[in-house]
Amino acid sequence: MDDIGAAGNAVRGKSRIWVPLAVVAVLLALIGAETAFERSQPDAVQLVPDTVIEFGADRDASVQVGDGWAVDNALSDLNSRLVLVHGDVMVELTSVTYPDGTTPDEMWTGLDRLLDIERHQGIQVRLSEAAEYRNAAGLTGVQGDIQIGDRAGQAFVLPDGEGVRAVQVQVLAPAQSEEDSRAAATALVDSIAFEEES
Amino acid sequence: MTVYNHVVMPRPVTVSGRTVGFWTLIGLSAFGLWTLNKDFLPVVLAFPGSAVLDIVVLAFSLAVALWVARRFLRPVQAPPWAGTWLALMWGAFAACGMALLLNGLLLTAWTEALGLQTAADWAAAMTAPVNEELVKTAGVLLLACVSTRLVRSAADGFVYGALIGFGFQMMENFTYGLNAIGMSGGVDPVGATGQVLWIRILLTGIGSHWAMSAVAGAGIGYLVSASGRTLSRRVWVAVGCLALAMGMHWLFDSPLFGGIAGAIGKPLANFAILVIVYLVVRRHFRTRWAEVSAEEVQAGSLAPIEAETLSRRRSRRRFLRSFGPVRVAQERLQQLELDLLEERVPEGVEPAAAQPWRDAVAAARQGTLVDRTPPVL
Repeated sequence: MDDIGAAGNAVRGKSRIWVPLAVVAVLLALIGAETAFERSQPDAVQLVPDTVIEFGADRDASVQVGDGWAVDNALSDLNSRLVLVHGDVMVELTSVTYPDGTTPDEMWTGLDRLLDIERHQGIQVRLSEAAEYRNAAGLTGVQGDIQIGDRAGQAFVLPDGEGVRAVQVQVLAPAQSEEDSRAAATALVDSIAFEEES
Repeated sequence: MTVYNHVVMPRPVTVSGRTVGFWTLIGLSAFGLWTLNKDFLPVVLAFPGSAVLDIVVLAFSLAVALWVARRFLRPVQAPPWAGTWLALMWGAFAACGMALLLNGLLLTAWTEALGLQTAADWAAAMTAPVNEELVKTAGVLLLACVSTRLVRSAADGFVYGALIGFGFQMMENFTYGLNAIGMSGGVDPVGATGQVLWIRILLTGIGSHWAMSAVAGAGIGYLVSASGRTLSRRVWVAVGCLALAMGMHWLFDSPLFGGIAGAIGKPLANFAILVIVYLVVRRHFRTRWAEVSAEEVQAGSLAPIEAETLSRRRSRRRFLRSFGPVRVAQERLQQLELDLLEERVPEGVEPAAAQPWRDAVAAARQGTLVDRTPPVL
């Protein structure tokens, strides 16, 4: 029997052709409108020197930027990740929460395992052995060399005093990056701190 | 010579592969699956333990979703399997994949436009309700274009909306389970995945996507049903239901009413709205069902005892049990009677249009109903 010809619902006849096409058109229009809106906004915003940015789900981690830093709004979300740019150096700060009793070695191994995602995308990734690191704000963690594709630099894991909350940092730049930007990135990592629980 | 007059059993075609709607559902689901695959396959390969846990939980969720939707969410009888799988496919692949793409654009745009602080609090609530409810609701509309018999009432729209929402929710849980690995720094990935799944299924699952899209779907069901109501009224009801679903989603994602009380209270508020919409839809469907049952009893198509037992699953089973050895034939007759009344539910359809089903019921009683066209002798 001719199912389409029977009057079961109001979408019949030519409506069966143009309604699905209209649905596709609306979805394409939505993609187009949101793409246009996104492109109309600036990707990066220059930051005032000495700005302190609090980030993480509870905004308990903070970083202070110096002169010449911009925040990449397209890649940042204060709840979890902050991407800061200085010249051709990019610093990615990720707020993470570890299970109780995680050791610094396990934190470093965790970072290496996360880089497996890039490895499975066919990107060349290298992470060196971890070395102990203490920043100027007093956080003690681990650091090592990192290379992702054609960008290289340093990675850090900086936990709070209890070893539960931490900031994973990746400082990446092309081989011939400016010395000023590298020094600015070092100062930035030195400023990472945690708000102490009252 | 004895002449037998055979009546051919009418077979409602619930899904037609020759419609633009069907291929739109398939095409956009393939696109969504490609998007999801591109973003999450490397994570699955990097963390196979978490992926296995995700899949096990997804399979269990699917079983629960099918049971809830097919047993409770549509009055009288469950939706056809073909429509059930299409709805789940749209929700899991097309809607989830397109939402991933759209949310990526709009979340970024809000962060750029509003600044980090405001966007961190409000971007999700200003993004997901629009994108996700629109793409999920589009699925119900497309299902209505696949067959005239798939979405014929608000009750149909409600159950297909819920199924699309279940599909979306399951796939979103899968992706959130993988995203949780990064939030725990790559340490104990299976534990991180399990923790997120536990929260999203047991704590917030009751008032999440399935509840929102069931409400929006009921509106689409009302819009496309041949109910005899004016087009403007049907459009306003559909727009109202979509707006209500978006409002439910906004409440769910907004930073208002935070903390553990909010995490429990907001899904419960959404569930309460779902129950109210369900009761309204169910009442309307059952009232119409009672009307057409009475008309068919008067027309002699149904016996009064049959009409009484047809509307509820348990009474149908009890009625069949009383037939003992001839139960199989009676079960076939009962299904034909259900099909007849389903044909009569859309109010805008002339009663005469259901004559093939009426004839089939009569022929099944006399034993002259055949499954396919009898050969020409």
